[in-house]
Amino acid sequence: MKLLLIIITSLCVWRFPDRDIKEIYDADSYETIFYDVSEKDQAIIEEILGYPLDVDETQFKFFTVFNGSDTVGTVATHLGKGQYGAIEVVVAMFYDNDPNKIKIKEVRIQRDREKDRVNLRGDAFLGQFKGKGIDDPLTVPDDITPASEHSEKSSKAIAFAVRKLVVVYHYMVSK
Amino acid sequence: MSLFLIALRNFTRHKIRTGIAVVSIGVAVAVLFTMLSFNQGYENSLRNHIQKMGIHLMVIPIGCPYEAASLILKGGQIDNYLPYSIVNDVQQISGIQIAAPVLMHGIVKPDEGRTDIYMGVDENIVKLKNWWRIKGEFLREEHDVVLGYDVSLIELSNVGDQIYLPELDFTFNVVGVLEATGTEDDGFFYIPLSTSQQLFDKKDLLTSVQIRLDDPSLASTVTRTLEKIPQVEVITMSELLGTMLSLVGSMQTIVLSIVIIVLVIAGFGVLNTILMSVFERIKELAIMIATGAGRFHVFALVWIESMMLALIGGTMGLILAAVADRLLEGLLRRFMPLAPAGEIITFRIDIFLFCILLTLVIGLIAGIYPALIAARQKPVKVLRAV
Repeated sequence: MKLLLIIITSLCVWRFPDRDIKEIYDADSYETIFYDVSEKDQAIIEEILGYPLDVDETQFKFFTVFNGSDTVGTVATHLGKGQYGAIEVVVAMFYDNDPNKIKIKEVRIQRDREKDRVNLRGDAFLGQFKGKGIDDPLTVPDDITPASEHSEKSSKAIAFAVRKLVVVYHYMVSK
Repeated sequence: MSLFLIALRNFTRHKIRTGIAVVSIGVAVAVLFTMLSFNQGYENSLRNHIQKMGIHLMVIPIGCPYEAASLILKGGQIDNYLPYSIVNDVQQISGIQIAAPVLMHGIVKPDEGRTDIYMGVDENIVKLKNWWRIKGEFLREEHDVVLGYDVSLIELSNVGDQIYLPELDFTFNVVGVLEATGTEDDGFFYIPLSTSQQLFDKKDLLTSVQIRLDDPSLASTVTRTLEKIPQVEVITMSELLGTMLSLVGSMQTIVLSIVIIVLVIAGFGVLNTILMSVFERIKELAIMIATGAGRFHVFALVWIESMMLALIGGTMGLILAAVADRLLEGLLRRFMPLAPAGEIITFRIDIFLFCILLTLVIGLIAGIYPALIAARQKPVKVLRAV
């Protein structure tokens, strides 16, 4: 049961790719890239994150976004557990040549059951992620203020999902 | 040299032609075998599935049950509901062991491409589905929810968690999770009947009463009694099985007709191959007759060739079907929304033997004309023409 639960967590689909790339990047196409995580990669990523990856996270899926033939960014999705059910997070990133300069362009919630969904989906909370990069720990409440006092658990789940995707992507493109 | 060896040697004279005939009959037999295996497997699987539901009869409001189910799945409002008072009427009928009232409601999630189905139930549902295994406990309080196995995976939720219903601003406490049943039960949220009636504004209303009988053979007697209650319709599980099988049956009839046409065409292919072979060997056959071979032997030789050709093709087709059926089953499940759990294509020896027999019959029929042509040759006439 636990294993299946974990397996499902990795099966996060990107629900509205065309809408998202148009709204976030004004782009028109994307390409799926798979990164396999070896045991060595896993150990390094977990050390950076300070948290273990899920059992099945041996491969990550990223979507490179194009405007014409120009690469304008990368999107990744994550399914995690919130306070009242699952939360699906979409993270849009970009960088200019140097992977160390990865920045978050936008974070969106594509599925949730949270009571405080208005605040969690609002710009006051999600906007805090914009412009953050690999050097930002994205911890709640130090680096990111929770969406409200009632949604600290969900805010942490979202922040952790974003941090994980940024760390994995940075590690994979710069190794 | 035996007639079988001579027949076998003749195949190698025109490998491509023989190969095409073998492939055509092989493909036709493979499709036939798969169709028959599917027919049998699907019926068995569906029967098991319906038996596993633990329900013998279902009382529903008058109207089309399939339309109602479809409306609920799309989050629509159905026109008719049963009054809750009907449960007492039903329970008083002799022969009914358990009557479980159900209020089903769907909440469409267009952004997620799915519908959350809430089943308002009481403790009778656990008696009815006594094979359920629940991790945690069953519903006791107003805010309790038991999650179907699939739901618990989709929501990443387990016993002790909370599930919020944003559409109705209601929080449930997850008190139990169903162990995987392999049925549609895995995809529902089970909530107390009274909570569902209140939440979905259906006070004292039900969508169905699910019934288990003391003895399934009482189904028709109990159905007649139940149908005396005004504004209700009774569905027996055998009716449900029959309807689902007839839906699939119409599709199978079309496919089976096409398979028969393909088999006839393959039979003509065998006939054509053997006939060509006879015409090419006309001098050889005439010499056989002239040197003492009986016309029956020549007839038998050509006939054996025809049967062997069909049999080789048929056997290859059956091997192909046996290998490809597992792949095909996965493919079928993608396109068949009503596919029940369990093997829907089952390998059965009687179907296997039937296909072999049919292949032999095709070979026999296709070989008659070429064999007659071969046996009727007049050696003097043939040899004079050379």
